[in-house]
Amino acid sequence: MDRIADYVFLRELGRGEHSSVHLARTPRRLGIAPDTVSVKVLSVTGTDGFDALADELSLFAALRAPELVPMYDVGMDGAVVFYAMRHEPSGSLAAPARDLSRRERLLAVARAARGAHAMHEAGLVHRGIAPTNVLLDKAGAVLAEPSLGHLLTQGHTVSGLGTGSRAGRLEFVAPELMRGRPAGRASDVWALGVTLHLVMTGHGLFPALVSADPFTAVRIYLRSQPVPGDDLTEGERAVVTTAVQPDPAHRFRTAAELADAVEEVAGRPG
Amino acid sequence: MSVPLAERPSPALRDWPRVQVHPGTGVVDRRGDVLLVVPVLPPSSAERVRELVRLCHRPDPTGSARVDALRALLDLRAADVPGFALLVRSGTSLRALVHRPVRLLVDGRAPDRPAGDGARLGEHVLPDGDWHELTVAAEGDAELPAVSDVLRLDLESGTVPGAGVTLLPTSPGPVPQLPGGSAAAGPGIPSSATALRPAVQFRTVLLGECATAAGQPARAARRPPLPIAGARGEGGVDTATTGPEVLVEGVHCPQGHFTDPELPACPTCGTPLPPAGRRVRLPRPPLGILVTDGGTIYPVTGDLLIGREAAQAPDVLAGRARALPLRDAARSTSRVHARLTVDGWTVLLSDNGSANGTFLSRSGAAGPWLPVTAQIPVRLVHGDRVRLGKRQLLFDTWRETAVSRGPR
Repeated sequence: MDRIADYVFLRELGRGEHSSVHLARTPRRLGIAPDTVSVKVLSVTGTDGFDALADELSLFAALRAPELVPMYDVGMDGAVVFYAMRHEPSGSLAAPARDLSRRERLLAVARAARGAHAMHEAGLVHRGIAPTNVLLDKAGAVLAEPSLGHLLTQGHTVSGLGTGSRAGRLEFVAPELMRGRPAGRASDVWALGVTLHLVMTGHGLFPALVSADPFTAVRIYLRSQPVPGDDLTEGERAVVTTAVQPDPAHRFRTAAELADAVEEVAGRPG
Repeated sequence: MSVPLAERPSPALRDWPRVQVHPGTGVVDRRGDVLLVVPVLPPSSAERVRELVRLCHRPDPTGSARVDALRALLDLRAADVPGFALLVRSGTSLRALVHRPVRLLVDGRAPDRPAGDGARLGEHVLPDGDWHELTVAAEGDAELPAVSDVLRLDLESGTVPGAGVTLLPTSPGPVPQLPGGSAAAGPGIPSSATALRPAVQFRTVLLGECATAAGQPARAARRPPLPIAGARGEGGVDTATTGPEVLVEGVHCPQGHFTDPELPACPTCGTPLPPAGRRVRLPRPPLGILVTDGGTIYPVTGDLLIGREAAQAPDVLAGRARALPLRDAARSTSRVHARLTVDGWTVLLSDNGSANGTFLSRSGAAGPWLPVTAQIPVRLVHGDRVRLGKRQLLFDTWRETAVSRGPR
């Protein structure tokens, strides 16, 4: 793939199970200063949900919150859906361009939580908070665009977990979502807690998931408790534990409360 | 996303006259042995013209399928199809199929009355050597554009704008050059290997600062903040992933979970249900989840059609069921392979006349596999595995789930 719509791709930046991300030359019609933008091309085709997706991204982009990635354009070329956003060259919390200190990692998660809070206050749910979606920039970090696959292919909660280590992605999905409960503040807070745990320890909250096939992984996940790693500080552990309470009512009430708690931990000496 | 490269000319192409395109705003399309000329494009006919071009691009070794398809198209929508001429090479003659209004001139004169169905699609057969110049143009053009000799071009392949064509037989002589033409030997005609790339067609919506700068009005109304997490007793169900609500009769367990009155204990928390609980009609909660071997999770809230092309099934399109697409490279699953029906608190599975059959394993492991028929639906219970072709599903009802304890 060398282009989509009027975006000419310079190189591929990354590839996920449902999308690929490309560095592209900025079309003049966008009227923005940067020469290049990052373009995500969804491999899920389905044009029926395009308007809903464009509505959702419009609301997200209109927030213009400093903790959210600026988005420029969403479009459809044939049946392929794509969107353009600011290119963040420093990588994500999953693959940072340089080593980050413990404090930097904490503050990046706190920024992501502030971004999520701004979305929640505007009635939006992110649904896709994970280290790959916490993008690093000069000011610390921004939260990437929300996960909107459910608008294009309806009916599923989680998709494409795959096998082996990828089954670990399951833990970003709050267990109540699998009972058909709506995604909301509490499920995003859960995902923030799992993200915090993963970037501080390097491993998941459900170690048994790693080696399991999808069937076993789902059964294990629905029947076990999250186990925060021993390599967390006391403060970090307290934040993770509150964020991943199985009962949504016992978690942080808002993502901003989680951000406050993480920033407080980051401010402690040591 | 790029246009397929121009087809290599077959030897037969040398027998083609030179195709000189008249400047204009219609469409001239040439591919292989077929040349389509639509001199005038009425704005409303864009879709019909695309259909015509697609039809002409279809391979047609017998030479009759294309004409039959054209006749069928004209039978359906003669009024919507603009005038066109389709020239097809056939042996040592050229067949010209003409749909009016369009003008065909052989050596400057209109040919005799066409054979066949003159009203819709007239057909002329023009044997080689019987003519020296053939022109297709819009009817009513007072004067035909003179064929320029300054830049002699030959449309070899591709789609270009044009108001018509003039065909001039090439004089027998050395082999004409091939496209890419390093072998430009002899008095060959410079051929246009230019295939115009179709304009990029896309649709975009500007966002954020770009939308503001362009003065684009807000697309969607601002929404109220999300409810604060953990408001007790919030019993919502996510209609984005579950479909419309269905009311069922059930009881509340002592913990407040709405459940099947026939069960001895609440499936959510395990609390025994009082034998004579008060029955109420409420929206049915999800009855479990289906997990695919690819790791996709579907809440079971209503009827589901499972299969390779389940999303296209009439029941799904009509909104009576949701689709659970299940495919594999070997196409071992049928279009609609199996059907999951939710009746009250019961989840029933039946085969849908699939080629490879639907099988159920009750043990929670992979086998032994019992066949599921179309006639007798099987009630799914917690832990059932279903095999459809080479794919598998797991049904899970969250029983035995501990929910009350926090992380340690």
